[in-house]
Amino acid sequence: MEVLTRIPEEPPRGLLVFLHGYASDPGYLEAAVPAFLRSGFVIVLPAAPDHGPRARPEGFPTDDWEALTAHAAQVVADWIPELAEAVPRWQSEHGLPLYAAGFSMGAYVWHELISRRLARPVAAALFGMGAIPNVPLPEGAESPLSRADAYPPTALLQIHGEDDEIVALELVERTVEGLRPAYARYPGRLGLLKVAGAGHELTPGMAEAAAGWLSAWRPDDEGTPRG
Amino acid sequence: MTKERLAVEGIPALLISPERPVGAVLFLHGAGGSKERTAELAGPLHELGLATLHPDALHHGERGGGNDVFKDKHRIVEAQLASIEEAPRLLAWLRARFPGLPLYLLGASMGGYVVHELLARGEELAAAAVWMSAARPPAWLTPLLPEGFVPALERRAQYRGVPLLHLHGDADAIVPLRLAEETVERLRPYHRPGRLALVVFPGVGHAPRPEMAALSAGWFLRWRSE
Repeated sequence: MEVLTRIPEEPPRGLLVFLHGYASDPGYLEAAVPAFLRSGFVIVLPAAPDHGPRARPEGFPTDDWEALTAHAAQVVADWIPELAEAVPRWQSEHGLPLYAAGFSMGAYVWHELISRRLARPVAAALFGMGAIPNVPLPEGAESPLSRADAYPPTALLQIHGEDDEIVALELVERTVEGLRPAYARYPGRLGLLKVAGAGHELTPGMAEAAAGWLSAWRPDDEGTPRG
Repeated sequence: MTKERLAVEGIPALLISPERPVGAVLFLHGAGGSKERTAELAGPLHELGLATLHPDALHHGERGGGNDVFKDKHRIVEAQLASIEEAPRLLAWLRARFPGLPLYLLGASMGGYVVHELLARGEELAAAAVWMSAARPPAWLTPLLPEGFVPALERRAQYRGVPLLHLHGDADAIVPLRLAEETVERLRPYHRPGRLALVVFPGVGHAPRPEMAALSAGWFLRWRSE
């Protein structure tokens, strides 16, 4: 898997694995990188199958919605096991606690990794998509929300534009509602940031707030349940 | 990092500053709070290079009272009205102390309403954040307010589009979340895209939390060069 790595000037506090969206590439996330570097994260930006430096010659099936959604589902299915193998390796190479960020499809992939207990980030900032994608899940696939108990104590912030016309805000609101029972004993570890006037995008304000959120959580926070 | 105990315009306050601050924050506490309490919460702001000024509101901290302010809600009203009058002077002092640096306003609960009052008076700021509050006082406080009191929300046309982040728990029984949602909805036409946002924390009540400071610090840093 092709990977870009960014190193902060100061001693790092954590390893941030930042996943891009469908039909995008790690370069899209570059604008958000300075906020996370300033907050002291080593940032790993992997490319999904068929994306960026791994793009296939025929490109994306953009003329056929069914083919496009099937391709997106296949990319997700292929990326999950790759990341399940690679994330612990990156973590071990850098010797740092794990943090998660993802945009759109990359956010959904983090939901899969966390809910399947394939990765255990200290905290996650997920933009533009929750555990409910904007296309139907493949037949027989279970929603990450069916595995909600696997999420805590990871501190999870969903960040979404109120005017997102690609992935409706309502899908992320339903995600947070679906996770609410699992986080009931972990107050403050689940949040939804809604940005007025923003669409399906990762604005600088979103990135800075996300960097603040991630840096609020330390691996030595035990996430002890309350009540 | 330096920590000074001051009297700013006669108001007891704490000033905490990193060695080379990149901005300055006036941090207003809520009813029953104190300068010491907001100072405890300000770590993430200092970590990102922001200096913070923490005043005691009337009937709070060194100015008398504390949690017993809830026994007589008129004292909360008096504290709120006094803070509205004092905050511009504190901001002016902060501006003079840190010339050329961006200035931010942060308020929790009662202090959050004061933030809205200043925004409705057209205060020029780099950005603002409001915790557990709204541009309209909660219903339990409204009957105690002076006759003719007009909530900041009704003067929203005078806001200058200052980037504003709201943070609120949806189990808040003191200032219900719906007041913050109403505030964001009605301020929307007066803010450019991306400059108005609300974070909702499921299951969280009326209590300031460290992650609120971290999110606010990130939000402030975004707007330091605008």
